[in-house]
Amino acid sequence: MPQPIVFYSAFGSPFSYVAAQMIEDVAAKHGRPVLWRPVRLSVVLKRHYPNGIAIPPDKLTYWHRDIARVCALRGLPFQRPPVIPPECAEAYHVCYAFGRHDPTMVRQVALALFQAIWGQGQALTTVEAIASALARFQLSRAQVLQAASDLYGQAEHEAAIQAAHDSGMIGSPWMVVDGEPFWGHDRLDYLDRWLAGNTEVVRGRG
Amino acid sequence: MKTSENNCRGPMRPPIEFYFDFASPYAYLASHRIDTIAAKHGRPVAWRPFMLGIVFKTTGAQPLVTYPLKGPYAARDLARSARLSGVPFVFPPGFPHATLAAARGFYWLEGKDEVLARRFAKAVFNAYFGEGRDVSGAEAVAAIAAALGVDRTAFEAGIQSPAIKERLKSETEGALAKGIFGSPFFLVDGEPFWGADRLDQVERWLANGGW
Repeated sequence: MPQPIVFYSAFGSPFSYVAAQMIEDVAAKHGRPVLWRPVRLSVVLKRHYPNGIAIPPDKLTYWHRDIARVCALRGLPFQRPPVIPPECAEAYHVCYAFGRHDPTMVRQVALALFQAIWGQGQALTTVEAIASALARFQLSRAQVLQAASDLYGQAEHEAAIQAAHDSGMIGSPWMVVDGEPFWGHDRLDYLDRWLAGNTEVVRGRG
Repeated sequence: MKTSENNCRGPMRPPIEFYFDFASPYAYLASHRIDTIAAKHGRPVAWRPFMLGIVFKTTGAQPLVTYPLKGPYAARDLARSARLSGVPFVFPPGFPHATLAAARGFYWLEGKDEVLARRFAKAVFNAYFGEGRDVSGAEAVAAIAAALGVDRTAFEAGIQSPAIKERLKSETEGALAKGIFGSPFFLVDGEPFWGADRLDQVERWLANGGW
């Protein structure tokens, strides 16, 4: 079995939303599986940067414009959620809880949450809102509530945060394959080349 | 019937503004591509060095390399980006350096010969990030200018002149006023693009007139 691409994404990151729509196609081209690891970015970053990172207002304004432009270019629906951060910790817990017996559910749940937040502009800051966003899976509200408080889901999220931290994650999306890190949806073409075997170019062994 | 030269290709179209700091490695990578991209679409490029340090001081931002982990990641990303585009790249020892003299030198030369100023800018970038040479001092940049046939004494005097000092200051203030917070930064008919990794979008914007 080839090594997976570990795909760290954060629900509060619109660029993670974009990468989430692209990563499977890139991986499939090269016969690689994708290990979906949604992580709350603020928790990962706090360990590296306890004092936070200064973001000038002009940069934020630019980011808003840039993400809208990127989505328009890719034909992706894009709507800003009304609050930032647009997600609560339970959004991550449910991914892992539902993925416990069917690992593909981590991806499916994550994609549904990304779609709700950045495709439809919803705030998933309550478990009720998460339950609505997951309605398509025929999951009852009670099942979602249970998943949200599932200790396994919390522990897996915690483990994913630690792994993300250990891999040097400095932003999202963050992809690691064969030890090589890629930051940003705009590095997916590098990842593509890397997987195509151009490692001597990307890694500089040529 | 003879028509004016301009009529063949229409009037001269407005330039793409290319804002950069000479100490910005991603700007160095972009400097190898921007003119070609613009020329494909019949557009000139206005090269606009500015002092990113002043912009950071004003906006409260900090250079990428000052954050733990971001520096090493950037070094890795720059090296592989350079390899992918076939551009030589070394991280200059002691990076980052002050680039005041180079930026002033650019504007002094531009007042005399735009083409020469651009050759100078490319030579500074290539010396710094292509060969890892220290280009921070007035002497180092004067040597680069001299190698292009520029009178060294005139150059050294020029970059010390109040007019040139003022010019760089006002270019930096102008960049700030336009919302420029990083390097490289491109303005295409007012549309802002930040980063060498947005050059593909710059190209598409030029081809399609936006989307």
